[in-house]
Amino acid sequence: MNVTLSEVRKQYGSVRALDGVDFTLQTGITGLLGPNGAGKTTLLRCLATVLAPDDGKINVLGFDPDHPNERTEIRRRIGYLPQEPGFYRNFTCFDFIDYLAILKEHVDRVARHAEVRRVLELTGLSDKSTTKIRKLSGGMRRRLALAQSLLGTPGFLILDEPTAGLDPELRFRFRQLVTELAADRIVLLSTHQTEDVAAICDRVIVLDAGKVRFDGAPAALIEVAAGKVWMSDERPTSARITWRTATGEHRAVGEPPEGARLIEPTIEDGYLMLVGVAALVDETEAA
Amino acid sequence: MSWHVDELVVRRYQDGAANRVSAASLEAHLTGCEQCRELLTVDQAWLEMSWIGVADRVEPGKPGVVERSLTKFGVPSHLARVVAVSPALRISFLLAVALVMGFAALASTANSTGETYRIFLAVAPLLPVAGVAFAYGRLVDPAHEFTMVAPIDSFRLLMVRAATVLTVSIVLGLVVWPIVPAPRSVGISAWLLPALALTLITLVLASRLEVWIAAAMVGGGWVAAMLLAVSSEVEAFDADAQSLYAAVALLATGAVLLRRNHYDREGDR
Repeated sequence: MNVTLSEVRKQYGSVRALDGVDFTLQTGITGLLGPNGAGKTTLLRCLATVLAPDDGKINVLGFDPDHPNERTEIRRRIGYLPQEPGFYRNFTCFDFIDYLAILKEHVDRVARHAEVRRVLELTGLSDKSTTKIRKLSGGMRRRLALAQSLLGTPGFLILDEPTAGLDPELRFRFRQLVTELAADRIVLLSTHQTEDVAAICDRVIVLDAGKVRFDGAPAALIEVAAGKVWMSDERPTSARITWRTATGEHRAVGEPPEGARLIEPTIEDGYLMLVGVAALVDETEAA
Repeated sequence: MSWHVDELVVRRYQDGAANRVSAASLEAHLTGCEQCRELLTVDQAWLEMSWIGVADRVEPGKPGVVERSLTKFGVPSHLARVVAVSPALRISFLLAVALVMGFAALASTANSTGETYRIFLAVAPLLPVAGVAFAYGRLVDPAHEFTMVAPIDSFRLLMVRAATVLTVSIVLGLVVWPIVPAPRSVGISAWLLPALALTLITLVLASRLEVWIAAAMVGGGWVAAMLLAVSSEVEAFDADAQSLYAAVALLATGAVLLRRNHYDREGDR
């Protein structure tokens, strides 16, 4: 089963959040990269059936979210981690996940409680099950939100900034978990962390100003910056993006000057190169 | 550990044949002696079920007053939880409704020979509308986004919460109604029908707008209509007005049912 989007559009006032988005997702992990306001969260909310697009078609695991009954079928099959999950702060971790399990139609009490324990265990929160949410750190709350998305072993996981606020160890555990989960399901994760994409994604989609700017393997995104990254002792003036590194040298991305000391690009360089070029195109169009 | 338990003693303990003193002594020893613990044969399935039973006692929190009350009235426990989570059914909100209802009733007794009883008639229908505003939606429910993507029927959830809020408001109104000095000709329907009509209009609008916006519009409209009725000396609670409220309530019920698929997705309204 796939997830497909064709010509999906969404507009807020004069802002085009999604402007003809087209792609198909299959089993495995797809990373969604893009600057703030690129339309990532709008896209994920449309896929999660929270938000209706203005135009275009979406099909999730064989169901059309425009039909109420099929929308319900989609909701039975997806796990969704919102960008800014809200909690009942006076609930314990167990009670909160238990409440969401009820919303997900886990009616039988014994089976439901077993499922709650399973997802708390998966996210390393078993020992916090009786702790009130208000006492949890930001990272733990993030894990709790992730735990609810795993209820009922969904076939399509939609994760909006899943590693935001996680320390390096937890981020590593998250990558392990998601890699295991993606063996037999579709995972779409939106992130600002290019290293997450490089570490676990089979495919990366770059969204900018509501349009898909890149869709391919992480290696292909790195290739975008091949021959466009160099190191310089002085701050280069011709670079699109440049920053001073810990060694005191300047790392530059863009069109290198003649004789520049070229280095191997990273996925972040590819992403910066791509979004930078896209921004230039937008400015030209606007003019 | 310098001594160990005889295997026969352990077997007697397991068969339930050991007396209480021996059993207690043995248990104390087993707690600290891994070697003797190995003599115990444990039914793993039973042990697992026992732990689950213990966890089921410890992990779930104690249900709140509203949730317990709903369960007592025969509402299934899972549904009671989903309804009781609503901010409109928190004790603090219910107390606020009771207080406003009480003050409105007291204010209406200020001049028993006059027409101050109309204060109560004007205020009481607003309370279930306020309750609906606090029953559902992004503004009042921090976990609303989770609710939106859950397969639970959002329309049904909103209706159940609205019905519960309406019922509680009506019960509170009925409690204070006897002290309202309304003439005999003004029956209880004088505020019940407007309350029902306003609540249903709020629910109709909520299929297009956020619930709180719908409630604010309906509340504001009602207040404006009451002020207009007073200034133009139009009777807002006589039999003709009651017929109008009943008709509006009926029409709004139809509209709510027709729009039942427009409550569970943003931008789909």
